[in-house]
Amino acid sequence: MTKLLSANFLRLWKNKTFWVSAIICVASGVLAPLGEFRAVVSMNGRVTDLGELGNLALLEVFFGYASFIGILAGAFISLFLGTEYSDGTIRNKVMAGHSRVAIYFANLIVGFTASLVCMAAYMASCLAVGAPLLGWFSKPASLILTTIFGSALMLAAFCAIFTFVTMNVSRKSTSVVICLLGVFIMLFLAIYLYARLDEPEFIQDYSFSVGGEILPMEPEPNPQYLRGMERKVYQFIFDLLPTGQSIQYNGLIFTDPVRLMVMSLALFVGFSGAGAALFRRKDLK
Amino acid sequence: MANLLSANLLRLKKSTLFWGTMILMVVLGAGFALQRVWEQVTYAEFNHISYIDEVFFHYALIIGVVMAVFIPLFFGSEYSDGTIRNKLAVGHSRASVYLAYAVTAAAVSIAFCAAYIAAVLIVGVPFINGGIQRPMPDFLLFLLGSLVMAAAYSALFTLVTMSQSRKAVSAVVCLLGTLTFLFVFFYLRARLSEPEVYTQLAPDENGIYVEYKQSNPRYPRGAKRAAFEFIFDVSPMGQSIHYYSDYEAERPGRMIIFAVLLNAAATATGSALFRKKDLK
Repeated sequence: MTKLLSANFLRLWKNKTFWVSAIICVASGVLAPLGEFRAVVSMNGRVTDLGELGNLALLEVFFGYASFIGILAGAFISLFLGTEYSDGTIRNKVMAGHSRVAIYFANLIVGFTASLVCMAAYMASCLAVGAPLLGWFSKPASLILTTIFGSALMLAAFCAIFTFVTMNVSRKSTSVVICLLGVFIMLFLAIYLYARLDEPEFIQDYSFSVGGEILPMEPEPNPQYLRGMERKVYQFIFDLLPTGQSIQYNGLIFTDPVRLMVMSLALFVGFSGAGAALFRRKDLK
Repeated sequence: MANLLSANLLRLKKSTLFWGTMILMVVLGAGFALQRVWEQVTYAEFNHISYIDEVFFHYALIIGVVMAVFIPLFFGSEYSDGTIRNKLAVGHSRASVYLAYAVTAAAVSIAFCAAYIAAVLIVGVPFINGGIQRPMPDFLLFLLGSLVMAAAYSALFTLVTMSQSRKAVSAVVCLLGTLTFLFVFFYLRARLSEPEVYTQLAPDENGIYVEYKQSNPRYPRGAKRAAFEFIFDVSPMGQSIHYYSDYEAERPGRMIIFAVLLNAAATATGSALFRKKDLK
């Protein structure tokens, strides 16, 4: 296992896709606080007290990586691990006497580590540019750390899914398409679920009185608002989907972080177990 | 050239990817149309009227993503299988090899659209009660524009796939590019359709609700608006969103001209790059 890992990491440091992904993360980490700064300035006219205005602004962008890191991991993992098939590396590893389970988990670990590096690259560059421009965090450290930890677990779930696909599909380009299309479909689904869950319970309407006055009417229940069991199911899927979690971490709108972490962990264990089991039986030709 | 085209067609005929995508388009077309029929039946007591064109142009949004998968996978194998080298070895010029790919790609994208359209019409004409809502000239203009747009997508993806010998990398570039730009353009469209002035209801000092008019700071004005509209019109992704969601064409001539130009530019650039490419 150590040998497999060191071989994987050696390949990682030389891999162009990895460096491109890391650069994308650094660049978006730099651009996000700059954009936020521009927005803050244009909204408040002239900025006189940076610290006061910036307090919320840094948090607005600091977790921005959560929105796209899954997509990036999907592209990276399917390309990086898919090459093992197209170049025959997997067969060599098996022939050298490594167990298939060890190969699978060494690949999972390298994919996850690379994604974590990208996530850290975003956070570091965002902090380096954002903190002087927008001020320090205004929320307690516990919330920040919980979000970082939770989003790392979310990323682990993403990586487990992508490794599952890539290690069990022999054609690299097919894995790429499945991973990328899959993550976008999950993203669209999560956006839809969020929009439905976010419907107001009551609709406020206004009416004109005889004298032309505008009066607020009695709020009416919204037929689009999800109730009872239906709401629970929607919320469950929204929390379970890594893309649903990415929306929640990105906007800091989660209410129960422990629930999200448990779900990510369950996905991680489920997909890794199933993936390794399938890979053990796979015909490598 | 004729030989190259017929070789491509033969490969298409045998390709499961091609037929699978065809079936997908038919299923999507029939599915969307049936959904309208279902709505009609469900709300029959309110005399609900559905129109064919409510779903007719959905392919404009789908075709970009479909082609972003199809072209890298289908043409990318020409690299991985060495077919390209064989074609050159038997004496075909690089320009004609590229042109044959470009023509095949455009034809495939139109065939996929046609499969969707046929399914919508087969279900829609007998069962959707409202028929086609748009005036016929507008409808035909949308049809023409969206087909030229589909060809423009194909030209772009052919350019990416042929100038890049690794199939998986072209798949990532095409698919990620299309989906990311679609997201960006949905946002751009939301910005463009913001109201210039919005009215708010709020109680005044006497507690009476009154309307306040306020200029919207998020409404893009002047040069910014023109730039947004230009990017929206010139890109196939912007056009996709337009044909998918608008009822009336705002700048139809301009969009069609842009799509034609994009076709020509992508094919010329692609073939120039391909001529110089080291095929190993």
